[in-house]
Amino acid sequence: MKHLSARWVAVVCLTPVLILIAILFGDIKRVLAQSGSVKGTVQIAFSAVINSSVNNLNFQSVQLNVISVRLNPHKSTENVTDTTPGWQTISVPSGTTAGETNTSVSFGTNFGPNGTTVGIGMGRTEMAINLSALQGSVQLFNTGKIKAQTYNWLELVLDPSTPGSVISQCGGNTASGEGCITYPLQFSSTGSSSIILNLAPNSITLTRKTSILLPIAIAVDLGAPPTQSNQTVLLNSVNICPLQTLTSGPLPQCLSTPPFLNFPGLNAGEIQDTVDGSVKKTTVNAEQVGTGNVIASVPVNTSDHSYDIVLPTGNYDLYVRSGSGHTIEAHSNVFVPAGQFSAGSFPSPDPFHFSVTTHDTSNLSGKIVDNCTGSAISGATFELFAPPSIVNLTSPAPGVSPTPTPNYVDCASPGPGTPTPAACTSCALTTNSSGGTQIPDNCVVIGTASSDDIGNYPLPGSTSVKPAFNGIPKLPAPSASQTPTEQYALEAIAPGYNTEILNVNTNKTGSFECLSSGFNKKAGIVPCNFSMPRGELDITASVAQAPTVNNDNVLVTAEDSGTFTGENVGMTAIQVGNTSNLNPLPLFVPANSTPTPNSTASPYYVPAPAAYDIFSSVQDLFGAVPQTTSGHTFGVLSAVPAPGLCATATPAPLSTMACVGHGSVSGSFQPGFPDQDTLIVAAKADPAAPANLVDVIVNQAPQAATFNQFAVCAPDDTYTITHYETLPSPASPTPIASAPDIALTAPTQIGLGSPAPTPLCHSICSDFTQPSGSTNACWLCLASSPLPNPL
Amino acid sequence: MRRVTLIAGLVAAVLGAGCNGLGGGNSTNPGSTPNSSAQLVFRFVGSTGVPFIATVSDPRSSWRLHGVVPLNVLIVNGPLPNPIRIIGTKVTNDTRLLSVEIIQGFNVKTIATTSTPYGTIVAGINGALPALGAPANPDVRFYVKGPPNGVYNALVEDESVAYVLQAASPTVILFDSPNGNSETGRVDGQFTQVKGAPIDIDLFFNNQFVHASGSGTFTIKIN
Repeated sequence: MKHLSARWVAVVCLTPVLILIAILFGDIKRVLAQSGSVKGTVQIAFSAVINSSVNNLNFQSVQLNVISVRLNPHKSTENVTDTTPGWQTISVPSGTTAGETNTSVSFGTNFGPNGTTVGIGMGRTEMAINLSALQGSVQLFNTGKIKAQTYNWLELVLDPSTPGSVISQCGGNTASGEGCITYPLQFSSTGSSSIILNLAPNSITLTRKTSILLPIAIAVDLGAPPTQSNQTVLLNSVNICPLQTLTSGPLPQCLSTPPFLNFPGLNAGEIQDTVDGSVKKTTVNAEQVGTGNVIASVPVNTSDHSYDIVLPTGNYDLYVRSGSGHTIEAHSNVFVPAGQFSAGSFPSPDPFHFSVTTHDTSNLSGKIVDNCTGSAISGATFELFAPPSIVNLTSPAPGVSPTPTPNYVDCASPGPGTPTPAACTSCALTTNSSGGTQIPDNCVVIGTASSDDIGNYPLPGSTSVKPAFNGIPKLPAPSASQTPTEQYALEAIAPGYNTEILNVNTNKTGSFECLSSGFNKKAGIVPCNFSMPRGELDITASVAQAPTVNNDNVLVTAEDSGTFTGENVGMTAIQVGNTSNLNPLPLFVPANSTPTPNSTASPYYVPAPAAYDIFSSVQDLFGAVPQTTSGHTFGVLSAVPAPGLCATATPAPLSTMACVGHGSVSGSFQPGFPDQDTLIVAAKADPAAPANLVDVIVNQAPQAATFNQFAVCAPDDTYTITHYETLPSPASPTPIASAPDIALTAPTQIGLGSPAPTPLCHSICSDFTQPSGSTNACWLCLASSPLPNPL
Repeated sequence: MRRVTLIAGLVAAVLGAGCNGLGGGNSTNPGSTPNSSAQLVFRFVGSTGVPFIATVSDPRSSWRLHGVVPLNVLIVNGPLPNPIRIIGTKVTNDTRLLSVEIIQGFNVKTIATTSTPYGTIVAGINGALPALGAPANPDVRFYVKGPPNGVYNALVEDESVAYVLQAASPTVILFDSPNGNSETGRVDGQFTQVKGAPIDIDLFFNNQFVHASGSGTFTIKIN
């Protein structure tokens, strides 16, 4: 029996009443605040500086768990704390689920009429900021609407219990903790989850219905790397400093003092320009060129039609959307230089100046299914390509220097002697110079959608958040029996399937349809449905030693042969007492042949690669904690031919995975690198075909040449490490330099055999705390010598 | 007015639960219900629209999910104690962010994140789960597809146990071993819209499927 005391009952029963009052009155205040349009928009961006008391390279990655950024108008001369009234909050990005913090509904423990689990609450949302990759560049955090006023205080709010985590490199000796595992960060005795900065008086002024940019540099100082594997790493200090922008006044004092003294500045450009005809819902969006990968999205000031956007230096597709009833204008491959630029800084055609007008719009939707079974495909991605109005004909080049000079063409008046790019008129599929079919270069993705659990796209919306592909401008309707001259292209991408592309046009009734989809008309419209081809590979993975107590769970990845372009992933289990999975893992991959066209039309399918590389990794724990870096060697199999349409192929088993422990190696970059497009890739030779390398690890690098070192964590084995740049083509990264094959330094054994050591030890894939552990070994990884030459 | 009604109802529920069973359905044995773990939510966040494939597992069952950011995943009827593990892979070849938070009650317990092409995230909570559970059979899922950022309360139940939860859509609610793994037992859910537009739900029971949507409170059931 669990009877509550009278005092406890009083507390429990009174609390909900107080909650009710708080909710009701809180809402009233909120409604009043919103109705008065007394708000402005703040765009928060982060940059980073990592200091370590010992050596920056001790940590392969550093992540900070950020809850929100807050601003307070309180006087600079008075003290302000976390609980001082007046804080205005910009919480996690919209990609997260609303940043809900229902702290007003707390049921204490749990309850239920028949003893079952009952829980209430959604918890707050946080964002893990990867400081390692942020050094010297900026990452947008979120855009928030807050009260328009002058702010004198800035606060960064971190997770109070776990402010972040690090992955430590392997140490140099047995006095180190295990490397390549995740260690939680812990505040030092002086640390706090609330980092408050007193700004200079009137530093940040936000006026109603306007937007400002607030890039914030975060400097962290970390303690020594762990000497035991169960330790935390101290977060000695976190400092913040707002960076200079066009709208936030002079250079802040904090930038000229440690720890920001050597801050290299932003390798970024800040653009302030205008969108003629903009309305309340108008946004300016920047994407990675040729993709729907949105890097930044900012609102437009409704009073003077201005916008302010900051982007890492480089090339972007820009487009402006205003919702239903308006045009969309896109500019392709726009180069954002370093520095700050106001309206009129660029000659005509100005790639940062836009115009939108009223225009008839319609909605686009459809369904996606498996061509072999007809079953729905969930989680597929759809990208809608539209013609741009300004095109930069100069392709970006890898590296930060020299910067290619942009060559902008205005599609409306290209100028004498300048051919009009094909993308200016239509994004209908075209034949390229090598005879292949493709969406015309320079078409811009103006919308991205996803399919739901039953294959329908787009996902549902609401009155405030419209579904993707709502409000797409109608195209000119074709005349009778003629192919429409102006079309969109709609691309469907799903893991394990050939990508399919359809031309989209507006029919005579003003609806969108896809004449080439091959689906029958419904209500007089050929639907924009997709039937995705694929084949199947049945994969067998194996381990050197059969698991004795628990199954080994194995993650299998298929990628295009000779690249790290992933195609699909799957999970299988190697059961106790076995050295391979009893039932082969069915893994869908794009097929080497596609469906025969029907009598009326055929969609376009992107051809499969000739072959795939397959690799597998055991999902190992360290103690109770799952780890990203396996302690087993990778199983690999190279050059597996692509299967036929709806066909199943059974390739040879992957190479054997053995528990070997971790290793790590560091290296540096050649001058001019790294930048935001840099990737470090580790490849393993296929034992069955040693000339074939299978890419098994992909890491991001710091984004500023000032921080020119990197580290790779991997199972102890031999790898080829290569520096790639994702420019000019994210789909086909450019190799810059490779290091000679490196055999990682093997880990040392700190506990071995039977009887089990005292105290019991555990390591990445061999654990004496497990029942059968007495026959195992405990590994402690050791750092390898750094790579000899910069990559 | 509806909001006030909802809040009042919520408070009444608290009173019923917390005040020694006053007004609750367990009048013969007030206050004697055992404590149990707070609601666990896997929250996939990061760049909107990033697709991923994840395997979520408790000691008894595992589920493979295809989803896009943002998405909340909950397991109900999981065994206690309940170590839970998740392995997710971002299925795009770009550097967009995929992050998963494991939230227990109101607290973020674990965050794992990746921004590398086809990067993998792993996380666990409540101790070691050395091996993933067998694929769920029956595989019962409530897909609460919309509205985006809509908040709802739900009562999901089989023929013997019921679970109350609150979450933000989109959500996938995984029902572990309903009716003792019966292939024919009934599973249903009563959903109440708290914030946002009408709710849109699919309920799967292996290959069976039903759909429901609506505002206010409505029910969906299968078998």
